Amino acid sequence: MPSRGKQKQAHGDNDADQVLQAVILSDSFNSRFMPLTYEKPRCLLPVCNVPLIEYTIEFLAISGAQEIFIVATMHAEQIKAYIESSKWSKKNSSSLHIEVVHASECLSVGDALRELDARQLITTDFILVGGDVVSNMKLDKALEAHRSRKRSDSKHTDKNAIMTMVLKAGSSYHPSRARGEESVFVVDPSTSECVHYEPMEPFPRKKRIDINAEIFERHAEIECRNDLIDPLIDICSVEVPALFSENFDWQHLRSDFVRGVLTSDILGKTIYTYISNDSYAARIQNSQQYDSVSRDILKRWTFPIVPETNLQESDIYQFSRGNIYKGTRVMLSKSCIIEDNVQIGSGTVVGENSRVTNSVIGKNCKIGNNVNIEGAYLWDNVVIEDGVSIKRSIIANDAVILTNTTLDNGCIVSFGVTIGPSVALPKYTRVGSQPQPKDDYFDDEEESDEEEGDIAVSDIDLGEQGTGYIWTDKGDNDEDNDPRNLKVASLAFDLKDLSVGKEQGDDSDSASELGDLSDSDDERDSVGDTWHPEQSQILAARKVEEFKRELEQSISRAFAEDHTVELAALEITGLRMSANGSYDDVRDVIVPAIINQVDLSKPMPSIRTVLKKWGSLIGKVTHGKDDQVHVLHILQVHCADKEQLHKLFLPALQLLYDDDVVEEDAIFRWYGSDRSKQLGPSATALREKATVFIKWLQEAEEEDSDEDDE
Amino acid sequence: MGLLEKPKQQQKLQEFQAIILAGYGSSNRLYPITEDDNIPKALLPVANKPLISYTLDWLEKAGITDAFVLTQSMGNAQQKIAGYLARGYQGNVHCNLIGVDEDFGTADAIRSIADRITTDFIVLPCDLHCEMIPREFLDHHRINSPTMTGLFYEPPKGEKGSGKEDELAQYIGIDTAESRLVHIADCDSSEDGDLSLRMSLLWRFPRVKFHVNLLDAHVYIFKHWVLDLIKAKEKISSIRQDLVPLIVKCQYQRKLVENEDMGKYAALEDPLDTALSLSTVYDEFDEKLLNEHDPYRSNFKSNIKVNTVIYRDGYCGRANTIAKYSEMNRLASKQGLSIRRVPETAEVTAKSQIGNDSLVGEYTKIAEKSSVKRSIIGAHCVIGKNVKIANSIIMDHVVLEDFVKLDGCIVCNNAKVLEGSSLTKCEVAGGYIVEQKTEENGQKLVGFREAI
Repeated sequence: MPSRGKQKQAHGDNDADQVLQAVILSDSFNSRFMPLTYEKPRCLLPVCNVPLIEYTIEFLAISGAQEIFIVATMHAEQIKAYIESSKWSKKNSSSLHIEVVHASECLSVGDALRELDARQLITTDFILVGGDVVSNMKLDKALEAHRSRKRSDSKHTDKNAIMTMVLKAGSSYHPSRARGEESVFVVDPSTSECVHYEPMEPFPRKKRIDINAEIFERHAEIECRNDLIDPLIDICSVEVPALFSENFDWQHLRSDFVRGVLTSDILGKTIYTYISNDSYAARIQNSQQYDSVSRDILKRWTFPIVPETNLQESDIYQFSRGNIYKGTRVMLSKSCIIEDNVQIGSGTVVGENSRVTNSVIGKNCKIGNNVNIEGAYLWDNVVIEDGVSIKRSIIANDAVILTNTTLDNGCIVSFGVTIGPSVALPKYTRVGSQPQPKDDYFDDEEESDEEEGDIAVSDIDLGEQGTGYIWTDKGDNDEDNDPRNLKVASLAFDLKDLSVGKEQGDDSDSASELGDLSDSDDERDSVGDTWHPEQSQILAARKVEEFKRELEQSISRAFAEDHTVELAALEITGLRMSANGSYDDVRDVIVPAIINQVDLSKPMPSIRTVLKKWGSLIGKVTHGKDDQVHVLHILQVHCADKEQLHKLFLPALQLLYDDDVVEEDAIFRWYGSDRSKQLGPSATALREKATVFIKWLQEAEEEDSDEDDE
Repeated sequence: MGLLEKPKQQQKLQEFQAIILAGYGSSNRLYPITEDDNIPKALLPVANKPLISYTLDWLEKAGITDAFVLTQSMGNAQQKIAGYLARGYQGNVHCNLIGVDEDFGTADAIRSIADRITTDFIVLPCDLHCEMIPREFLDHHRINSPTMTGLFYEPPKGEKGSGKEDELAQYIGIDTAESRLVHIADCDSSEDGDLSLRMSLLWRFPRVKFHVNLLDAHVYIFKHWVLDLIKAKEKISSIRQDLVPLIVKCQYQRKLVENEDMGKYAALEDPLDTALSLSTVYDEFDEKLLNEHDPYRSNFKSNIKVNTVIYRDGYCGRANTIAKYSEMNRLASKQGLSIRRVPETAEVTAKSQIGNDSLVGEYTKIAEKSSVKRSIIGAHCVIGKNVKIANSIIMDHVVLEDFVKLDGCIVCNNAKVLEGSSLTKCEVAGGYIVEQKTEENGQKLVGFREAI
């Protein structure tokens, strides 16, 4: 018995010196909730009348986090002010310590983690979440699983494990999955190690995924899962931020970090999953998920995190049948109808003959008579006048909707905006209180000229007394993201409307394309790939240009600093790999560069020394006869270019031959090739000069074969 | 005990008809032991019983009494098998031996007898030895009523290395929830051997387990309508290469189902659909609403279904390579399938040692000071003095002269190994004579005329 007690003690000690740290990345690093997030950070947007970050902090608190760092980028001061005034900062409230880290420069998750690494705030394994997680999960089991991998006595020890992704089992079409951002996790079912990660945005449509055969050498059995909800809750080892610093081009946690680690042969790190089947976990990264998570809360999937448990101290909600939650001092007229799944904040008034279903209404709202509210989210102090109809829209604080106005599906009305009277907003209208900035954080130059169709959208009438500005969808900051992926992820989005987009000429593939998700027999390229074929060619050409320029710089540095050939070759290989350049391009650059090194005042000795050293570099990038012929063509063209170089051609040819960089077969082929005769008069002259050499070679060969005969 | 004796059943209604493929597949993997001068694969002895008898026993245990045995009409294989079925075989399965063209693929062979199949059918290889109780497999099919049920097994750990070079590994994807076979492809089907999946597969079956260590037992139960498919589509030549992948893909590829016009063959047969259409409480509208809620969801529903059973609890294997054939023999003799290791008719001198992991056939003579370990010796063999046999299979009518040493060898019918030879890991073809004092390792000893 005593020994047992001791053990426990020891274990306890172990826990004590491990403060559980957590990091909340409060920023979304995208513009999906614009224009709302133009004024308020995403993590402070109310979900069921409680700021989103409360859910996240609550979740972390349940899971035993003791120290929380909130990395704030946009509106950092608002977040700081909110945390300071919240219950979490009060002296008596638990041992939870919250610190807001102001990181204004960050543009991505990767930047945020690099910032964390720079500040050296993380000392242990930590929980990494976005500022948008709603969950009733207790992480203790996942934490235990993560820690046990590091212990040598556990069943599956893996000291290289650096992360455990906490995932929730759902189904492939689960509404809590981020539409347009679903991903497939490939997991070894026996150890829960994640062996492959595949994001699968619907546009441009992905038809196949390939799983590397090598994976099967280590795992006899793997399971592909397309049914997981990824709430972006990760238990990370302390080295994760450092890894982001080492790989400075990683931006996203999943598509860069997870994929990077899993596909890297060098890092040797592993990532695991923890798949929960029973608890609730979801994140709100777009308005479609805002809708689905809010409904889940109203429908009590998130219990005990439901409105009447009063996440905020000042709230008192009463729960009644049909999932109706009423705050204090709510005044409902006798004839109004409150149907299923409705939450109404304190002090709100609902007028006669109005109908509210599947909606959340904030505090102190005034809703007039004959109003129809369906699946809408009204925040605090909203005024809705008589005869208004609102469907599946978000209306922010202090907005006013004047009489007889209609809001169709998917509208977002920002803070303090007035709309009406008697106008109808079409689907997916976004109204900001400020004009949309031309050049905000997430804007690319290309995009401003791309959006020509916007004029039509801006024509939307906000009514005589309407204030506010129409916002249009801006692309993500992610250049390879198809804008349609954002569209499908927005509130109440109906896939039939996909062809509304102005990008593609033919409507045939759009909605139908999605409908076809189930079949992919036609292997035609999706529209996304064929948008700008010329542009991609130009782009490719530009890339090659850039690559060549870099090569030139690199090689001239090698000459100037007198590098060894090995070092220069290594550098060229590196450049070639990173730019995905071809050997042809490499030769195009280095052959002339080497010839240019020859001191023309004393050509013969100089070319001898130059080629003696650097000739082997040409050899290193020349593989096979075709390449050798190519080298000769370059040499010919380059020497023909300037008169003073003419005399270098023959010696160069001879020296390259002596060094075995070019073999006689290649020389014959070059000499016989049509191309060598068609490169201009001076080049042809050079070829003529080489005739003697060729003859000599032929004779030598005959001699050789004679010798062989004997 | 009279009560336990089953009354002779009157021509009972057949649930399944069996088709045994005898002598198909790439039999050169068994070269030279299945050449014409020896015996066809179906008759290779495993623990001194022909291979095909194991398949027939399995069928009998499954209660299937009607089988077609398909073999090449070329050569003397058909004749030999017919001889065995007529005289040697003692079970109760009624066999119909049919010779088919040598160039036929497995599906082609079935096409040739399609008109004689009147029920759902089960296709088996002749080289299977499986300890699984067949009822378990059939019941799985009966419960799920799929288009096709396939049997896979996990090879014993030790066998994996030895069989690797012969057996093409396959990626096998199995839906976790319904044990449906949803993906099957050879590992080297794509350029770099990667597993390449269609997204539509993962949308239709979100949780799929992929295995590389499972082997196909080549036991399939098909719905009768599959015959119509085989009949109509001449391009289906092989069951494993063409038919199974096609049916598997039709579970989720709408275009393929349309292009191949599968609906014509696979008549609406989902019992659930039938039940629902008759139901008074089922509201089709509800279902529609549910789907409409998510426009992502495609309403494509294939009524083609492939189920699978994975057998892991005991031995299961196919003798389709030399290594596996030896392995099967080794296991069969060890497991004491025949209790009498040395029959009365055999003459074994007292001074010879027969290990109790070995078998000796009828009328075999073994002279003194010989030892037999982990080996099987067929009938009518003559074994000289001081012969050492280990890990070997000696078939019938083999003569081993004095001081012969065999380790890991297979010696076919009527072969002779003359005095003092020492062979390791060799296969000696039927009727071949190994000269005196030959020493060979890892060779196939085959007469010249066969090597052509």
